[in-house]
Amino acid sequence: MRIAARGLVVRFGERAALAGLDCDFVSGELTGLIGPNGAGKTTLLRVLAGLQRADAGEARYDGLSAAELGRAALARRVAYLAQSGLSHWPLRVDHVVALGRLPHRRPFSPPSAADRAAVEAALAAAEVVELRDRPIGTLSGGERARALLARALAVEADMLLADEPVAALDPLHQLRAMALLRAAARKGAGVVAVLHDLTLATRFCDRLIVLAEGRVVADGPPSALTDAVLAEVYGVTALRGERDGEPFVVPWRAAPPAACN
Amino acid sequence: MRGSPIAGDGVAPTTHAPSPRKVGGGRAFAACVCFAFLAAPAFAKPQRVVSLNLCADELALRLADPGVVKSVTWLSQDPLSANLAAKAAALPPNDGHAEEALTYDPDLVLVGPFADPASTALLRQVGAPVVEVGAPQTLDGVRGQIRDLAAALGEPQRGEALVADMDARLARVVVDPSRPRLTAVVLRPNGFTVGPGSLVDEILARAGLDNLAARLDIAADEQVPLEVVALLGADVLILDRDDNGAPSLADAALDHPAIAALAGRMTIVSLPARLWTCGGPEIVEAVERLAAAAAARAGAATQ
Amino acid sequence: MSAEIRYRPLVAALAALTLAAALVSLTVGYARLDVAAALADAFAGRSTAAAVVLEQIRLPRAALGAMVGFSLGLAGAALQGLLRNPLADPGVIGVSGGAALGAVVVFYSGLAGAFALAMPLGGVAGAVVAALLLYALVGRGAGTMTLILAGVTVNSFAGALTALALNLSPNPYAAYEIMFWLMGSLADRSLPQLWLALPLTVAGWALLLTSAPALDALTLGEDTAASLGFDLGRLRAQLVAGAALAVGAAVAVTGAIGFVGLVAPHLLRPLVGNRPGRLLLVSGFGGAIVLLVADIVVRLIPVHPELKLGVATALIGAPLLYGLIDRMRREA
Repeated sequence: MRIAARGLVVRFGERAALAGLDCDFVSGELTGLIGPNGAGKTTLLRVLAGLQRADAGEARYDGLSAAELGRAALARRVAYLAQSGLSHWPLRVDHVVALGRLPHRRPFSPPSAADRAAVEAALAAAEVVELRDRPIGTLSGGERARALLARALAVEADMLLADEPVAALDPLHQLRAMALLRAAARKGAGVVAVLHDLTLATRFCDRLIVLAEGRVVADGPPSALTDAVLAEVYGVTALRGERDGEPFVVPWRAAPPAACN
Repeated sequence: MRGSPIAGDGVAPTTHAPSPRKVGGGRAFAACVCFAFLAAPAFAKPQRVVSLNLCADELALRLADPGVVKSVTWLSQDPLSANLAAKAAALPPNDGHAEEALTYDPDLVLVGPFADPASTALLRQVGAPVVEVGAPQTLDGVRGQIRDLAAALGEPQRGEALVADMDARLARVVVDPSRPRLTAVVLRPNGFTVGPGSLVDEILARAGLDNLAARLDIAADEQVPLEVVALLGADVLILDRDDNGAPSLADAALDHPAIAALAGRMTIVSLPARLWTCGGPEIVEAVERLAAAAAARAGAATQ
Repeated sequence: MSAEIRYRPLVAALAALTLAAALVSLTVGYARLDVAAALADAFAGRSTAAAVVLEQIRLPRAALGAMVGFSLGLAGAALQGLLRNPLADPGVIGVSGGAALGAVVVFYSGLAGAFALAMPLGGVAGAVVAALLLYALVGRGAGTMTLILAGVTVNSFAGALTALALNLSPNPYAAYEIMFWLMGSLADRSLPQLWLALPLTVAGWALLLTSAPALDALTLGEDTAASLGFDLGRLRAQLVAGAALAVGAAVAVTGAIGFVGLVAPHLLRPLVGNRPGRLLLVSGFGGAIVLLVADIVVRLIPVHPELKLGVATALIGAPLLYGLIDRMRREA
């Protein structure tokens, strides 16, 4: 699937969260969406998921607008993982994950074999199989994040839009979750993940999109995240390096104010 | 409004409290009235009579000359709850308060059995003679009350005439003693019934009916569940139906389909409360209607 | 250890219990009734006093008890799913109070005489207004404090207007009938009332029961539910309309009976693994059982006149509400 966003503008009162944004997302890629707080990352994801209407511009899914695609088809083909890990009722983990199959199921008909298989695969991929009987409220923050990620994976969508999917996880599970997202992209899905950890972003993503003040500032392979971009967007300098052929980027100091040229 | 002192018997239309027992006997009040009358100076016919009670209104309108009664309660102007509405409508209404009576400079004020003693005292203080109209519990009490009030109004012959008329009509109601007594039960709004030992009880007896409430071990006016009424197997069901116009759940209770379904087994008589609330001559109409129903029932039974 | 029971057997068991409670209700009353004989008479078409009592008094009472209880349990579960709060109950949040006001205005103004369906429709209209008012106050994902306060507000206002309407009625009995409307009763209801309320009620049930998948999705919040393909605006309208239809028609016939929509979902939620979709049907039957049992108890207690049904449900439900609020406060 290709999602093409053109001229997206979203205003909340006086403030413009997105100020004319152009971007493309394709299947088979893990795209990292990075930028400072308030840059518009969550808003962009919500517009792409069909949850937020744009005041100007639109997103097209394989050439179709959201209205032309239809609510049901959009739900099957685009999965959304919200930032806040809410579960209002203490459901069992496997029942939570099974909610991801709702777009594929006919109302009131029992789950099909494909549904059950998708749930099992999602549980395994997110490494929450042993937790399947536990009520989600009894899990730790990290375990809950993995369970909700499994729910999003269970949709088996063409495009997964994940808002900070690894923020609550411990280092081991962060690495494993990123590897999982990359594997999903290799298998043919598209994954767009909002990330705050620059090293995870540069190591695992095929492509990085840097957002600032509602606009795309940089778009390209991880090497596009230059020192200049870091200074301009985050206001930091970073330590860079490489190990076993993989880069790491560690924010080190506040950047000196821009020198006059 | 029923339940206030200006209504007839002080029956309160609540869903919880049973209606209070009627106070006193006709005889006792007759005695009081006679005493008050004898204690007064030389008697002159009252020319400005104000009535603060529904039942007193009706008797006064019947017994006094036109123009003597200056004001009656607003209740007696409502044709659904009063018997002489047309006549009463011509007069200015009052709310049953003593102060209102005083505006007419009355030489006789009629009050009911639940009048506020403070109001009554006020009237006496000002020098207006007060006569209390009671709530008789027997037919004799009714006769006595009519005579006493007629005397107070200075129209003893009219009183006698009224009583004679009543008695004549009652005499025409003949209950065949060889016929087995029919049983009856009274159903009022909210499922209230009428207990034994009341005026209604005597009316039923006079019409040849036995009040089944006595068999139910009901001492006073209480609510009876509809089921119980249905299974009592009374011959006659007497409905205190008012067709007030304005709906209420209490009145709607008498429209329950079970009652219609019982019409095959019971004779149903509609008997509005205004006929027997006040101890007045309308009581005879109540007896007549009940006797007719009883006769119809007996006739049907023998076929 | 999970208390969850398999769904189909659970539904079947609850349905059977409902039927059993209804049958017991037929045998309970103020007069000794030979039910077997009455049944025989009724089937043979003999209209004996016993058959009349069974058919016209006890049968509507049992049937209405089941129907109203089902509506209240179902509406309670649906409202709790929509508002994501276990305290939402048609009585607590003011929907029943609004329905009572609507019914009172229609009945005492004489409109009900003009057009029979006017009364249940009046109840539905009152319920809709109350639900809309509440939703406007509470919006999405109601925090408990806001929800309870909004419910108190709507209830107080509706109750006051109901009392006012009753006092303004020209019928002298009206002012004393407020206990019926605010506390509810199944006493001496009739078959025509059952038929009148039934179509609107069933329509409400259909709207509520079909919202099950959407309520499941709402567990994860509005954004996730929308991303799973559910139209939230339509869902809200469907649930408000469904609850108003089911509760409004019920209240128009029996007055506002509270707490059934709180007790039933609360007790049964663990048995369906806390899943809001499955809770709907289960809670409906649970509500029917609760109300039928309460109605049986009310007739067995030798208090005269008969205790209002809402008193019995409140005696159980209010302490439960208290405990729930306390627990939620401590967990917060």
